[in-house]
Amino acid sequence: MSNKAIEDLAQIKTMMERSTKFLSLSGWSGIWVGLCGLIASGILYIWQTNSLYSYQDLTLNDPYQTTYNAFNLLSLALITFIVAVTGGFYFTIVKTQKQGKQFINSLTKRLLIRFSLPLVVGGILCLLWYKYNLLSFALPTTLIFYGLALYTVQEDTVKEVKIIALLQLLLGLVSFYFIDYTLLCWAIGFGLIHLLYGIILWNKYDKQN
Amino acid sequence: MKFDLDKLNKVFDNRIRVGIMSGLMVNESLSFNDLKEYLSLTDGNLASHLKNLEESQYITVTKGFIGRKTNTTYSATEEGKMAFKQHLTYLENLIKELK
Repeated sequence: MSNKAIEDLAQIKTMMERSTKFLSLSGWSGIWVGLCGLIASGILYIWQTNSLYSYQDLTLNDPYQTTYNAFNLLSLALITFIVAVTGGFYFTIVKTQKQGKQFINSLTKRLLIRFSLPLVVGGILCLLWYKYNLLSFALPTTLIFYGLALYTVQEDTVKEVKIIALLQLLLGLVSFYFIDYTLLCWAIGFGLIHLLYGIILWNKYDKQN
Repeated sequence: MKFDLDKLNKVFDNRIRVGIMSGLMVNESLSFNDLKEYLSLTDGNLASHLKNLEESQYITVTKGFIGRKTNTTYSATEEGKMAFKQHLTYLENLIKELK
């Protein structure tokens, strides 16, 4: 009778978790997003060291230079975002399907809506920085708003997300202060942290399967 | 609130009904499809247990539409929540007796 009680309680706990948290986040998603982040940082670094495409020049009031670089920067940002998000979703959707679950349900819809809001606000803010010729604030802004987006969904998914959120926020603030080291912070935040957490998540949740 | 312990035990004697209530304790409401997925059940099986919980007045049913598709959602009533907590205490006591 008591053994049945223990099993019952375990089942209650599982059901409560399953109906409130999305736990099928794949480690491969983190690894993929991390690699995208590192490659994008590498490209930015090459542009930065090449005087023609100097990232610092973006703050100068040279219209030709600004539009040209901003176009490159925006394309890179968009391509990185699309490639990273597509791959990130792909690995997680595959994992959900392997577990015989549907990816889209009311839980994941709520999670995605919560997650998107800070990202959209941050994206608009980046465009506003461009309007005021303050594009060097764009990278720290993406770190901060991405951190906020992760923080918003911490209750809805694996607990590691909260730690990543706090690290991104910290890096965002640091890179606002040390504006010369923005790219380094960004490479750590979007590249290294994702890569490491992807490996940690994979090790913890995916390895045995 | 006074409880009919016989009724409570009878309702929560079944794992599926306990599962449905667990979900509704931590969510304001859940749709039929959500419950079906979380508990990996067939339509008929889930419907009969939902009916039972509804008749015990532990859950309420709201019928709505998303576009043209029907969307039935379920929520736990106050009585249902208290009964479930009572059941949890009962389970905890059983485990304590073991020690």
